Amino acid sequence: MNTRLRVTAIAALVAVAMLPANASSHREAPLISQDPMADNTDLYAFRSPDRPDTVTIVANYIPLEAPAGGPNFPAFDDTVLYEIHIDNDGDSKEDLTYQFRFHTETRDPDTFLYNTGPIASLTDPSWNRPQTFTVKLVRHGGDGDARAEVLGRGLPTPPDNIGPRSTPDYDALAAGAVTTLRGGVTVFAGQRDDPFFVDLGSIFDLAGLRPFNPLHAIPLPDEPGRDAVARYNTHTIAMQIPIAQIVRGGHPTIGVYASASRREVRILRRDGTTDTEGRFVEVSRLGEPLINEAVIPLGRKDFWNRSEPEDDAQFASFYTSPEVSRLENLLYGSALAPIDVTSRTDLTAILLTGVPGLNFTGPRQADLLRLNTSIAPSAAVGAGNRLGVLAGDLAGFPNGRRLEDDVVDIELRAFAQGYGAFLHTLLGLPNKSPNNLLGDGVDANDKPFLAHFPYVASPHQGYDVP
Amino acid sequence: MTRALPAIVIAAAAGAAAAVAPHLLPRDRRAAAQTTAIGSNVEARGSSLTTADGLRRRIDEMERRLRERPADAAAAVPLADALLRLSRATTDGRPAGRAETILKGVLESSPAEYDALRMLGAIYLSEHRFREALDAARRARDLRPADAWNYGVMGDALVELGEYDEAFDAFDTLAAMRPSATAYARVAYARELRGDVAGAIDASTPAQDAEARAWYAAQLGELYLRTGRLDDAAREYRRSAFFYPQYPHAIVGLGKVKAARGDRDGALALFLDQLSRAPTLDLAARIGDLYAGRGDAPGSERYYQLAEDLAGPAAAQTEANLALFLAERGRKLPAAVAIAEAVAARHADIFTDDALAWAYYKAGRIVEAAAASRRALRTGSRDERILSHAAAIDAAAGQGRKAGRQDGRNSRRKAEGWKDEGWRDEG
Repeated sequence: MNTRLRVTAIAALVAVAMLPANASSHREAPLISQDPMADNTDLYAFRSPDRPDTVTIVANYIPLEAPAGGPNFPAFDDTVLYEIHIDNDGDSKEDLTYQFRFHTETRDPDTFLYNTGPIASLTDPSWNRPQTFTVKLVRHGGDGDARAEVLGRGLPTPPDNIGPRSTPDYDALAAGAVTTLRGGVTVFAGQRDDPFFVDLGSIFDLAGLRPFNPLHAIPLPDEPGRDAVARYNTHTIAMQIPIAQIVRGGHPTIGVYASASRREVRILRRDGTTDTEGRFVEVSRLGEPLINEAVIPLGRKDFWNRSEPEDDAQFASFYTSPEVSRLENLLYGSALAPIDVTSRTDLTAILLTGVPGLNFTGPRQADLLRLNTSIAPSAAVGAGNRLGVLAGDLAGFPNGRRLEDDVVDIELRAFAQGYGAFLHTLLGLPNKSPNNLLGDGVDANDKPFLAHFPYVASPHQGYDVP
Repeated sequence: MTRALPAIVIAAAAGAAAAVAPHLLPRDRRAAAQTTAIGSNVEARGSSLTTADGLRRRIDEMERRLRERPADAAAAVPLADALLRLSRATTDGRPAGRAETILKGVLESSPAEYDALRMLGAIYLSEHRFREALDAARRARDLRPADAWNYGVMGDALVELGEYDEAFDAFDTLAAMRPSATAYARVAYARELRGDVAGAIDASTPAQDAEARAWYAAQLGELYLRTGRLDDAAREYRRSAFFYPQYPHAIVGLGKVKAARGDRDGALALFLDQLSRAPTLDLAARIGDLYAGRGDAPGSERYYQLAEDLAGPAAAQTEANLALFLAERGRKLPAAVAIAEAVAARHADIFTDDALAWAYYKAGRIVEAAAASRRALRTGSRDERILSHAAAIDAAAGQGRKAGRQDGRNSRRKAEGWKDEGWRDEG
């Protein structure tokens, strides 16, 4: 052994003698398939009642944000691509895509605090983690080419609503984050009250609906519904777009869906440098409400989420033979009129192609929220009939979706073939009774909506929440 | 309108509903109880459910539901998930054991209960029963090939078993199917195993919920520590403890930073404090080393003995660590060899190979040590201990050509500022 090697060996011996035994191999990274920052929660599209020449689209992300959730205050994820897609020629493929990318600045890396004093403005230095965003519009050509245009850069977002000391004038902060871009598109991105309302606690308890508790296979006394999403926040991307910019001649009905994508990454890097710039893979999408939850089976969800809506015909059997309808028969079978559980083309029409005469876009099946922009708003924001088209209010769900539309009750009735008298008369859809009375007993959001853009109510403040 | 239903109908309905309830109306996001698409995510929504208190509340709630309906998969799977997280966050294996019992109970009455099977794989992982984890994950993958989760479990198990090519394929599949913090963490670890530490840092992306966020911050701290960036490491460990107070990986990490800075007393205080909450072999060994560094032989011996006791009858990984611990400190060398050989018969991962190599080396069985050491080097990992052991073994084997290469590797490592955790200074 030469001298140099001997020295090395001795050094190595000294070194290893002092290395602790350590479970260095078993890493135990968390296995979480949930990814809240890249998780669509709801999508809304409606003609703006106060600006009827525009359409408002609200895409919500990040579920069940507890207002008193510090120190983990939620924000959009800088590594996620958030998108709102619009098909305007009825082929179920997006023609316009609005892209949103966020950038978080950490003003003082040595503190983990969200803020070190009151946040009096969107540029207040005591806000340690301000987030800005860029909006791009991608116009897709017919032959696969696309043109991208930056509509706005460095746009502000408001902080989360923390409390009277940290965010004393929250509404002013939020109002300051509403921006009108070139071309007249207005945008907002930031924390809001979650406008969805549903009795999750009961629905998860063997599909219970509290008002119908006595009729359940395991009966309980009836009671009013409880809104499980009350007092929770979410993160909203809202856009108000002049109708003229998004419709194409002869096609007043648009199809909308929202998505979140993350970059693919591979273990072997191409050139030894970073390759975090892999292609984006869609990890979440949302068109019609409750599809991922009520229609698509578990083992297909990852696949469904990364499939394009234009290929949704492959999932059609889950609509024509819906699990929810089977369950309604099973758990309320003695109380409800028997529900057909096969050949449910009514559901594929409403949820995959649009309803003829209302918002039909063509035979190609796709999970899109379809809005006929030629139908005028019927009421101020929040004042439409919660049952939408089922109650004869054509400006509501399933013609687009307004914040006040009670999509849980509407879908429960639709799955149970209790469409109500209006659609029975108009389209001959079944109106089974008492199926047409189903509901979870939660009929409205816990906070009133705003009369102006972005309409979604101000987020609940951490300080106020028990 | 109430009608009495025959009991049998109710039972059938309840059973069927339990089986299909996850598909009914749950919103992915709101569905705290949704066991389906998400498996382990129950508290990924809102940080309040990811704190230790939140986990315990969740556990109490689901235990209560399970007492009422023992085969209720919709309660069992989130409960198992919460127990698993509690095990992770406290380094106490008992909750994971309870989770296994619960899931097996569900699978006994409903063998086709996919969610329970899929979660069982993850539980086996945490119990270091990697072969069983792999089997469970492969069965789940065969049932639902489009569910990305199973590739995560398979890859984790395969890494531990030393079947790296297949493991890396599984991780790449996971990252292609469902890019997420979960997938990025695994890609990062695979890169690290291949010696690409900078790439590992690049691939690290924080998660949202508190425990996972704390874990990622602690991992990043670990990577910085290994590259000698002590300030960055300390910051990430502090961030970890900020998101999840008293997070074990954060506390130990901060202790390691202190030790690396020469603050032996500060390190000792942190390690002793953590040991009082969750004693582990690793921690006891570190404390023993610090006492040894002070010249306190009785103190050192006390904690070394504790380290041996803590290895207990446990899972393979702990056994491998015990063998390594014994070999590194020259204790009970025949036992160290026997333990390492037994583990290596079941696992071919590089850390077990390294433990075996070092036990052989200390027992004077240099030829066998060299063979095991070569296997430990096969992925190109730049793990400090593996490289140091290899250099010493090569030198002892007198294999000039190989030793020269190894020496070159060490020199390159030093030239790049690669440092160990600072234990070297403790002697």
